[in-house]
Amino acid sequence: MFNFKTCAQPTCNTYICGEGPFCFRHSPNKEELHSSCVASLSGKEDVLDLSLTGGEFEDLVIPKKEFSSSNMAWCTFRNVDFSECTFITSFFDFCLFDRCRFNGITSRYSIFSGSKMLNCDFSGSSITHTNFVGIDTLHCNFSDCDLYYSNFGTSFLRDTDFIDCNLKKADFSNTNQRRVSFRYSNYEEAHH
Amino acid sequence: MRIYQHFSVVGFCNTYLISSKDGSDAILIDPGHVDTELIHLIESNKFKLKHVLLTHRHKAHTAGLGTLVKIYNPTIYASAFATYEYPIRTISDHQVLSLCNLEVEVIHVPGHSLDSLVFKVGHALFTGDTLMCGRVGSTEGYREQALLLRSIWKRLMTLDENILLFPGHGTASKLRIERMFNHQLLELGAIAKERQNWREDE
Repeated sequence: MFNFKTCAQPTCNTYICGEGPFCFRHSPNKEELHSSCVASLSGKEDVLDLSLTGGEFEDLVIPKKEFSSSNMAWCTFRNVDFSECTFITSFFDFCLFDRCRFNGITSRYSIFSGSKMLNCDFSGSSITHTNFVGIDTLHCNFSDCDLYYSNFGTSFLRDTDFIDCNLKKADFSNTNQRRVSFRYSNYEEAHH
Repeated sequence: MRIYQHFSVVGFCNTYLISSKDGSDAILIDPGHVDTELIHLIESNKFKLKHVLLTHRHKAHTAGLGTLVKIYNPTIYASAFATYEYPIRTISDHQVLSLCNLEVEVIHVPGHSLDSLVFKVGHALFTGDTLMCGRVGSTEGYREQALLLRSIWKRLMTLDENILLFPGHGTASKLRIERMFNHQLLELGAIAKERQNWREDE
């Protein structure tokens, strides 16, 4: 798993970013850290055990690769293309995703909880056993996805499509939905 | 530390394989069902399965024990509040086990069943059926439910909120996520508090 050390800044409980003793926000040389993070994200090699909390990333195209056992909590991603990537036991909790593309991704045992998603497209993906609890979505598209055992409980969904999805064992309990479409999906097989 | 998750469609249970590094001795938590995929996970990573930890006695979490004993003959650790057909080493609350270069802290969280244990390994918490993503474990009645909620708030919610949560069923989570979004925990927590107030009024 990723490094569990917390930031050296007193009172900061965030996990450290990269190998350094500080999280992204408290790092003394942010620009250098940012460029090394961008290099590891946009490089061709698979990402394993990466700790990258609180970073801000914009206009990136991530090549097809696997992220496993990594922590990218509290990050901001604007116009980032994660299409065709694989996420296994990776943590993206409390992130902001704005205009991000996740088309054709494979996600298993990953966490997107508490994140805000604006204009994001997950269509055509296999997203099983993935945690979306407490997310806020606006103009998002999960159509044509396998969402087996994924959990959207307590989330706030606006103008979001779940058209032609597999929702078996998915969880939509206590969600607040407006203009959400489940057309051609097996919504009755989900918990709600 | 490496954590591998395996999902079985028999009982819909999550099984976890943990080791300090690849190719070393390994611990397995809750062998709900042993299939070729799980055996492949152990063998392809060259793990030597030495220990099995059981969160509680329910079949969905223990049905694969027989197969594992035949193949690997691991040491089985479980609560003294349950009986098993295989020889086990009993463990109890607050005990710290040193297994495969990892420290395993045993936390007793009764409610779902009397023998329910939670294992804390580093920053990971293996909760079995006590606390799951977005909900708490099922209980036989409201007394057991009150006991479970009290145990969760007292023993688990006092831990660091960055701790990762690996439940027996459903998706992985973090303690902070459960504290903020676990509707059942928040709703029932309020009811339990209200019940306590009624008792005090009486």
